Amino acid sequence: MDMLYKIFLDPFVQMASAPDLLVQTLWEGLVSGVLYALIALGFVLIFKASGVFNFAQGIMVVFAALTLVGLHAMLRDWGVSSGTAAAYLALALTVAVMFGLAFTIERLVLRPLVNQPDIILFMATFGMTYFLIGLGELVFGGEPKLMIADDLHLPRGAIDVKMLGGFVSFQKIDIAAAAIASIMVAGLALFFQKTRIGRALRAVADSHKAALSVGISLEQIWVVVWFAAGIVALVTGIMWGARSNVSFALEVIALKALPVLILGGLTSIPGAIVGGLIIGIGEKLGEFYWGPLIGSGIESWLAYVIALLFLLFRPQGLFGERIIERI
Amino acid sequence: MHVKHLALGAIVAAGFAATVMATKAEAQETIYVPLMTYRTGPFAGSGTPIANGMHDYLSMLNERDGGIGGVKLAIEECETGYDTKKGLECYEQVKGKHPVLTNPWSTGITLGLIPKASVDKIPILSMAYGLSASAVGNDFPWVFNPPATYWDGLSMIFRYIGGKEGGLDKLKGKTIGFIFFDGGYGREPIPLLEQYAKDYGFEVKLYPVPAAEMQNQSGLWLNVRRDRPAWMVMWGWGAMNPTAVKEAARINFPMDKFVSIWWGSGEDDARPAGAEAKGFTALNFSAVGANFPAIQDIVKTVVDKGKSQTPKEKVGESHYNKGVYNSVMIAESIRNAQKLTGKKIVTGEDVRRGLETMNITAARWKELGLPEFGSPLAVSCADHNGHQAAYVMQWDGAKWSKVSDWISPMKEKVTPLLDAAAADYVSKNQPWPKRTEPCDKAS
Amino acid sequence: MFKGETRSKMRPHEAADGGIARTFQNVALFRGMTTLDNLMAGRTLKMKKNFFWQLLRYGPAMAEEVEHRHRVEQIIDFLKIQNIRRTPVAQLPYGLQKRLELGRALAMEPDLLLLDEPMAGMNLEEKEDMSRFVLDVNSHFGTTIALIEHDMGVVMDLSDRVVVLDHGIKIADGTPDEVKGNQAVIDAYLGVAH
Repeated sequence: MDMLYKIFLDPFVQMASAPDLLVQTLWEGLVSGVLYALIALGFVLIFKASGVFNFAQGIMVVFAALTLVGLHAMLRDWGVSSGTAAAYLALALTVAVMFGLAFTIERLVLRPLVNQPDIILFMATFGMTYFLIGLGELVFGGEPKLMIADDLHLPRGAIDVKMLGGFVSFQKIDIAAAAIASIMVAGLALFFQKTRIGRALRAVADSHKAALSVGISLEQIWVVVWFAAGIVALVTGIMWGARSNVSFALEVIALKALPVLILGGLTSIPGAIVGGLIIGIGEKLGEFYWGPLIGSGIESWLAYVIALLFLLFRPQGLFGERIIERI
Repeated sequence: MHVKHLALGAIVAAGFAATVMATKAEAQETIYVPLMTYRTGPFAGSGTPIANGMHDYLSMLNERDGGIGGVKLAIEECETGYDTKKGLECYEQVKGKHPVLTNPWSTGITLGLIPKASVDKIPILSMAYGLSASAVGNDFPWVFNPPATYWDGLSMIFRYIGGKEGGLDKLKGKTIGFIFFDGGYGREPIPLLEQYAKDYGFEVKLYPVPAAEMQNQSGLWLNVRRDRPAWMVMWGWGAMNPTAVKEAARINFPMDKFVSIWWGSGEDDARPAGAEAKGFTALNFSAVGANFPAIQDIVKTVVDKGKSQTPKEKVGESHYNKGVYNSVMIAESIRNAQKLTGKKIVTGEDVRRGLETMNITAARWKELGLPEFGSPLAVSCADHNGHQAAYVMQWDGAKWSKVSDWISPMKEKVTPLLDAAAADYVSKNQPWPKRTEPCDKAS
Repeated sequence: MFKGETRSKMRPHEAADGGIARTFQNVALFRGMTTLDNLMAGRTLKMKKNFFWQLLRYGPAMAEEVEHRHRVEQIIDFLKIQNIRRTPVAQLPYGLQKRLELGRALAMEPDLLLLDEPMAGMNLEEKEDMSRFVLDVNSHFGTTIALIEHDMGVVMDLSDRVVVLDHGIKIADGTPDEVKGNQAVIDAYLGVAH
């Protein structure tokens, strides 16, 4: 009885008795969820267009953030006196580097391996991972660095709102992260829905054969999606880097995308977004209200449990289409 | 090193499985000292400065003194990435080159090497990490973990907390939070912590951080906010530390009530939170700063000559100096071995005897050009640890400063636990070899 | 031989670039997209504004979008599929999907149109509709059409020139009337003891 009470009643009693903590938990979940969605989006973009599960997505996050911070330091060394100017110049250069990376990957990895089984492409992304680790270290060094949050004018500090008999603390950086991620997701959605290249990308995702027949160049689309994934990685790297620091440890963050992908499906952009939010909020609520019953630190596997529970009821994933094969 | 990784990446990318090891020319008349280090991966933040410190001190001995006792040291790093499997591979690679000892620099790798040490006759020096029970020299003649075990560390933290609270009995009815890396390393101090809880009547709240969540701790710190512990004690590593410090600042946890074990005492652990981390404290056993004759020698003969990967401004930082401390022990044990045997080129077996007779007094620290760098350190055949004192330092927003005297561990609490743990290890790993190695008189 | 060049091997998008469009035996539409988007995808090669304008979706890119939408509307009128403009194609009946595929190929304004069994799996009424569209395309746009078909009635009615292949070997080549009388063709179709 006691255990049942603790599982089924006590958490809700706690929610009602300390509503400020509930709001705080939901907020933390929302922020994590938005960031998870962003990471998952990187995977989805590439999988949709090229059918590759990009193992290197995590390291792309690190590489983009390292490039930004490293270029900033170099620009300062070369005499750019204003930190802000150096930061935004570095940001522009990093975007260019991510484009160069997308172009190089298409030329050197995807194009020579076209028509190979998916597993070969998957293995190639392993190789890319090690290459990017080496390149990042060679150019910028492996030690952890501080994200240039101040020079980028990302807000600092928190807004403590007194409410519900306590206080809820909104970190300004989290508000910014949620806002920027939402704008990015909306922008990407518009781009894919309303432009020629977006349409071509959806066409490629739908059927390579048909896309080729109408003259869509797979090569161009690949560059575009890898570039888009690179930009997503850059934003993720900035936001997550500002929460701790920029180091190769950020690579592990990409693992958080896996339950989101299980839940949302590998091919659905809305799936990545909604899945990210469900996982983010679900795991924070679970950790906070039920975690202490079984010794805390349950976040890492709770996400998978949530994803699997959803799959029991919707085996095709959140927004996946039911696949009916015609024989 | 960097070029090596890049080459590795390129080769893997091309689809070849290859292991690239930059082997430096290894002449017969050198003493081979492999260093297992990690400058890559999630833990590089802690691993890089330590690797630099270890490497630079030994290089300095080569440059300044021509090695030890006139014999040059052949120093070689092997990248483990703090990964147990890779670390064991490193061991297999270096084993054939007659290393005089190994420094695994990971509790997981240490645990993997402990059964091999007595077989291969290569002693293990796991400085203040690894298996606490290996301090019992009679059961683990080939393993050394000076200058203090994790249990010593915890007892010193409690002495410090007791001092601030006006006596440990004042903790009665309070809550102490323990945030730890969810692995062998982080779980190690829990038995002693629970015993303290019983002895002094406080409640313990455990906050484990799994490896994948190191940079995602916001949910965990919400729990801390709810549980309102009087003190937070941290056993973290790598990217976990700076994230925890930032999160603590976010929930307005009083930073001077947040104490870390020595592995959270790096500049890079506190610096990302900057001024908000002001007040954060950590235990440490080696001094911070470059203001020592020996470290100035490193700058002169190694760093300034471009023979190191260390940026000059990072020489003397907290973790860097721990790497130096580790290499001082290596050098002292080789010196002792040379004295004991009269040989110049010593073997693993000789260095084991050298480790067992290590005795770095305050005077010896001074002779080494490192006055007051650490507390006096003495190891014996029965006690492979030393249980030496450490001190507490505090982050002032920009740097660490010492805020306590040397604190000694509560040996009376720690020793029974160590003996029990050693007996437990031996009984679980039967047949475990009985110690046959004779004991040397201190040289 | 096409436009004075022999092509034994070419990349798919070079073919499209060179004015060749095709349909597939098994419908290969973009199933997740609407009729309109499918047809607009057919205009891909005609739209030239670069990536950065596309990113902004403003100015020249917008004007271009409008112009091509106009052309696509003409095709919609031509194929009489006004009512399914915004329907995702996966929900369309088979006959309409085939028609839409023809429309997408037309959107490319090809010089040569390759139709791979355009009537496969259709009922009589659908076949008649499709035949009329094929003839209209030829007369309206002056497009050269090469089609592969098993239904002899359809082939004979539509074609100016017929080539018959049997197990990959050409056994006849000529006007429908000439082919109709060819003994090899009759044997291949009706089967004789070899």
